[in-house]
Amino acid sequence: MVNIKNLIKIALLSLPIYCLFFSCSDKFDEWENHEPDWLGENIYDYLKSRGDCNYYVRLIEDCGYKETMQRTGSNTLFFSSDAAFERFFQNNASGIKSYEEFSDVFKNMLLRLSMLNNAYLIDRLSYNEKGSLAFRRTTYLQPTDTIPLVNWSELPKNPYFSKFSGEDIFLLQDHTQWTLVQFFPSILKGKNISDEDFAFITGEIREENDAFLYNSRIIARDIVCKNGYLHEMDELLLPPDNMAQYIRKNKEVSIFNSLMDRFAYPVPYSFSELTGDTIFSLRYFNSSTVMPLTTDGSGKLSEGLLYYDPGWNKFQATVNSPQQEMWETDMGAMLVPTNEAMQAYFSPGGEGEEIYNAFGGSWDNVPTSIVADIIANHQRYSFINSLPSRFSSMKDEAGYDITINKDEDIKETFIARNGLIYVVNKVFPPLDYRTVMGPVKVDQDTRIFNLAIGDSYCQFKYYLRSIQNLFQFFVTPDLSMIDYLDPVSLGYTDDKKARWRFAINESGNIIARRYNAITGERLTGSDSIVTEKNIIKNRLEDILNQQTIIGTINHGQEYYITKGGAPLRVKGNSVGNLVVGGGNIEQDKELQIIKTYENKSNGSTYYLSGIVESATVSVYRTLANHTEFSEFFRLCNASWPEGADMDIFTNLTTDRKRALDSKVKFFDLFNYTIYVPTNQAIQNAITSGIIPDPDKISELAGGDLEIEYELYDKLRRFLRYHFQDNSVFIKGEILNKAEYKTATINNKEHYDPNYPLNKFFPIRVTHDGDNITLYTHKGGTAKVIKDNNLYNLIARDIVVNHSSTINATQIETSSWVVIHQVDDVLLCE
Amino acid sequence: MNKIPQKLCVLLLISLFWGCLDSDDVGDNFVTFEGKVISTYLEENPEIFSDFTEMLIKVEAFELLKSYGKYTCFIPTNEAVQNYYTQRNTSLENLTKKELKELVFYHLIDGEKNKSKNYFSRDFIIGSIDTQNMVGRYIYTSFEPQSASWIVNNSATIIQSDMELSNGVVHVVDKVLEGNNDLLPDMLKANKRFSIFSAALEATGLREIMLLIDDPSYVAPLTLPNGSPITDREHYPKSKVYGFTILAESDSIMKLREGITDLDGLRQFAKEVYPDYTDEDETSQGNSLNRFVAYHIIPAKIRSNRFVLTYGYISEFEWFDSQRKQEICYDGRYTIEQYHIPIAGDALIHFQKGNIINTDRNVFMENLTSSDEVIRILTMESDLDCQNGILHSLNNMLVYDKYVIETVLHRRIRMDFSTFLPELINNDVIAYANKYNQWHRIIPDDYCAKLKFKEKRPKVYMKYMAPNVHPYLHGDEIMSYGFSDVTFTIGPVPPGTYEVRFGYHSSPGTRGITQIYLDGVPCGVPLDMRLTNTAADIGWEIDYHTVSLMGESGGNPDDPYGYENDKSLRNRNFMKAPDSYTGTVFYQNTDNRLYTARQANNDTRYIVKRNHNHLGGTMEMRFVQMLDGDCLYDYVEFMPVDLIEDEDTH
Repeated sequence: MVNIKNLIKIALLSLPIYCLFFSCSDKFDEWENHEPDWLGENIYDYLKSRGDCNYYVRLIEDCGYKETMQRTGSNTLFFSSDAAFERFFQNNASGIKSYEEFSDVFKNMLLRLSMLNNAYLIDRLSYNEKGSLAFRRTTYLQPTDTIPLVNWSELPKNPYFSKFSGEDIFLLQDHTQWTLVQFFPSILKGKNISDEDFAFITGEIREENDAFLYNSRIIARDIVCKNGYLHEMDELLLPPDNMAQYIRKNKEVSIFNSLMDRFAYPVPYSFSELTGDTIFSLRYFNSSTVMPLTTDGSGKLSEGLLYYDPGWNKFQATVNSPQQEMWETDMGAMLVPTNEAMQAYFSPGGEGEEIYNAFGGSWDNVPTSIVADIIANHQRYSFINSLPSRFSSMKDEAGYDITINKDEDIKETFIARNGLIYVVNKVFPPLDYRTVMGPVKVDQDTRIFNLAIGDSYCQFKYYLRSIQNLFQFFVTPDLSMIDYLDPVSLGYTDDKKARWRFAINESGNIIARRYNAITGERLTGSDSIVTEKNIIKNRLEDILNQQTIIGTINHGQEYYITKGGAPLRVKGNSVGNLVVGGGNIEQDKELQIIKTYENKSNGSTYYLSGIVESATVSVYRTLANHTEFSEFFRLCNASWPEGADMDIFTNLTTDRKRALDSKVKFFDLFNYTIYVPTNQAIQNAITSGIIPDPDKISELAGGDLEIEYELYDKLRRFLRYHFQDNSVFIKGEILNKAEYKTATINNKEHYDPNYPLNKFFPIRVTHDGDNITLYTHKGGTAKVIKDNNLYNLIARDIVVNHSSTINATQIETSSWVVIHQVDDVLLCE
Repeated sequence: MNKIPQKLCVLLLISLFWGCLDSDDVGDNFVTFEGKVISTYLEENPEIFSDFTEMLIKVEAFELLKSYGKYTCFIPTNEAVQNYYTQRNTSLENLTKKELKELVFYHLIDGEKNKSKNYFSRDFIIGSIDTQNMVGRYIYTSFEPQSASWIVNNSATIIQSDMELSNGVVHVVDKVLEGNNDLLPDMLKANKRFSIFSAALEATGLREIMLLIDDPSYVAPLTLPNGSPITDREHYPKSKVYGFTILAESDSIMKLREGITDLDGLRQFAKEVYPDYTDEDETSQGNSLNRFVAYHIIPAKIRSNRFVLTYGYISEFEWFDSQRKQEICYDGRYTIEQYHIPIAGDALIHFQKGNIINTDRNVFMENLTSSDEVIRILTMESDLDCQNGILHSLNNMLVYDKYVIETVLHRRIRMDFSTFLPELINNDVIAYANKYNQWHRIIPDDYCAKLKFKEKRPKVYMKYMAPNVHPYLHGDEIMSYGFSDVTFTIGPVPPGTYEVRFGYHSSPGTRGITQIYLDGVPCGVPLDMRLTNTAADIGWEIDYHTVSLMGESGGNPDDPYGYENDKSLRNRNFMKAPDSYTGTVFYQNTDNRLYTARQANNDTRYIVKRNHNHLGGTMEMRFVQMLDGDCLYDYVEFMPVDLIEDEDTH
């Protein structure tokens, strides 16, 4: 009766699940073909009757599972023959020579790892209960089945463990369940793991239908007993270490391990009432989405985080889906450099030379944040995507291509219970360190910039990572992040106009202390400091944008347009050369290059003696402040009839933003040029009737309002033609009749019937390195005048984020403008 | 002579039947029967349907028509079935079950399974029915004006339509429908009207490439990349079949237009139009005849109503504001057009709505008649469908000559990313109706010849999403997810200097930062697709004119049409999306019936490269994620730089 019950139970348990996946009746036939065998023996009797499984039978008996294997349940068991045991006794790392030397704990581990609840054929084991492929599977074995008492000398070396000095502690090699790694035919096919991949990572050559657990072959499968299925392994099924354990034990990678140890932390797991001891779980600080560990017991943030915990047995890269727990689908992988490789990297002349030099040639001095970047870059979220057949398209987790040659670079492979280890003979440093960001990340006196380019602030790293672009990145060290004239504060009352001194507070955030812009005294109360991240980020963006040039520093060229659009004057790319922005020029602050890092993979990095500041004086103010521009300025501000104006300047005010000063109405977030004709040239144009004098328009129109409007419109269109998109400089980029748009639109057919309607008239510009010549749409020319020093005047129209400038907190947009005096008026129609 | 009375008899019977049932007359032409299923209807009318009913029973399909469903059935009359047997000298007993299954299921469309509907005659167009029949083939309808009746597959007439039943609709046809199971070159060869073209196809060896049916090495994965199970809504293409289109001139057209009467005549003609293709070997791409034929073959099976997709164009939406329609569509620039890539490597075929090919005339504005000298597909000889392809007949000689290259294609060439992926057309990955919520298809890596990426589960994968509410070109979208590295082979376009642009849709929550490369060269700094158009870095403003037409405030009154804003956006390497198409989101959600993609806050054109000197052929456009996030690929534009000055907003 029992036999029949078991038979039915197995059938019922398996049938519906089986049906889920195999609609083909062949599968059922195959299954049915086993039926006659079922009427034979139970698992225990079967093993006993074989005569070559005596050790395994003893194991079952010693662990108290005889009854279970004889009478109850429906089980799956992976067993090994006596020959396999004998081979183990002859060669094992623990030095065990006979069965009698097995501890009870070891016996339990051995048996329970190989036992699954329910009876599963190998094909069925390839899927979970919901029909999805299951690459990994848990067994009877629970984390607390083996609680190792670890000698303190074997504990990770870091301050969190040094408190146990001299003590042995109970330390779980983490608290999550161990998993089998199943290389079964359906899984290999479903996961696109080729036989070549498999052979490379396991060293085993597989035939078509071979099945493996880890790298142990199943030599007899689907043996049917009354109470379950048996699968015979060619060797003893021993639980492999997890990735962290393997790295700790492998002396060839001890340098890597010692660095990884920095992130180890004993998390109290439970309390043993038997011994009175605390049981800890060994975990590693990490930033994974599923099981992060970012702070210690006191809540202190770790100085660096790995991508994930390499000792996490049930590692999974992403959160579970309704159909599947993601640990079943994949596991991790790590590239672990040998000591030799680590030494070559961290040496004078090695790839990590900068880090080596910066920290006195000792890993001990390298900050944990940098070590975290290096170790984490060797961690990969997906075993499947780290197989040799995927090497050609492999990227690191920052998105950079990884170049790895399986024959030359990989010394050894190991399938851990939570991932694959490649022991490699080269280091895969985070490529951010090779880019123009590298020096900032390494140096400890550029922490503000390092934070500024990161995720918490400006996310500039995603631009600077662009490996095939070319950047010139100007960096201000922490101590020089001072005396920054806050452009937004220029809209405040005089007592609140401020200069900022940036710093990093105890929480690791960037703050700015404020000082009176005129007296230099520290502001008081809530004005004394800025901590709000959005405000800090806003100014840092402004700084970073104008301290980054895309392209190269060219011989003879001094003016460049930066990433944000602001002009930057760079008089060479060597130490001591001058670098200034418009704001520095306004304040007579000269900055020098104090250090250079050339030949980074995507450009050069320069350290500066201060912050590059962009201009703060508006176009309106710049024109007003120069009498040489008075005629042009007068025309720009002429009043139209009925209260209208020339529409050149505006006191832009909306419900959420305002210009700090009158701004050019049609300028936006971009860089522009304004050509201002001499007063004499304007007068000549008026005298010759090319343009009307606004003071005389009414008179000229003879009271006809329509004519009056036409004359004003003509004047406005004339003026707007002097406002050009794109900044061009004397000593800027060399130009040969380069065409730029102006602000005058051809929106009526009679303006210029030969030019497309609703398009803006162009102007052509030639700059030979010393002079600028303009070629107008009408066919005339004009030259930039250099004699009066009224060229390359830099201005900036700033819009802030509040309708009242005294309440504004952020720069909304900026228009960067260069103004040149020209010897004649420019005409487009 | 006997047939006519028989037909009339059948009609009479049907009419009688129509009249005597208790029904709700809900229109001119169709009738609703409450509760009656198709099987009952057939059983109750053995005098008309008994032969086909027998077939249904024999292949065990009759039960289907008893159950709940949405079946569109083209049921041949008894006379039609008997004629079929007679013509083929066969009988019900002589047909194998496999043959019978093919035949019977060819007449049925399963709307329920395909997430579509019952197809009434009001849904018919000249072209194909959107949903495949139950053997995976499309059924084609055309209208015969003289008899005012619908024709199916250019052969059978619907003699009674729109019999609505509780589980579907029945159309009665006077002929048994058959799918042609030939391969395309064989079907062409069998059609004596195309003997010269067929001979050219053989002479050039190009028939060989059209002997492919499917790629047996493709196996659809069992689970989705993100670990979710396969569903009807979201799955991998089930197979990878090949499909081809031949645009061919019949013998009579060749004679009429160029006096060509045999293959040698065509050879001579090809030499004249392709003088630079001097290779004597006709199987070589450098040979003029080869060039001529290759320009007629598209490696995608395109039905006549799919050459120019009109979904989303403002002129096609009745709900779109008529005044705005008038402003935008009738300025002489607006047109509805599409491009197709033939197997002749560097060449392109331009289609305008109405299947007018390769003309610089604006078909939308000009009401072209049959007397106009343009190339068009002949409706009455199109959609000749077979197992791996489709044949459309042309009214004129199709060539890729100087006029096409320098005049027709010297325009802003906007191509949806799906244009480059014929595999998606051939395998029904691309959906044409508004099926967004039901239709997501994963695009496997190595599936499309012109799309390179590596799927990395569970994070990196690509997907096609059916037309939806957003204002995308043709309404659909292609997405990549995760730290992807995606390369499309785009074009081809003729030699020239182009401004190359990329159309996309931003999303603050999900998109990444992407470095774009053109032919291996990085273009500018990485593009932050998280930024919506109003972000200062883009600086988009809605135009005052449109907003004021709605009686609302917004926009810049000094720049009513947004031209200044256009210039300002271009300064920052952006452009507003085109105003030629829109999305139903503006109708459904906001009632903004004046809004086009140009007024959309998330749809943008990014100027990838301003002066790209192009020697002809294709380009490689690569998208590398710098910040983990997804990326939406809508379209690319190739704008000849000399035309930018005078570019419209369409």
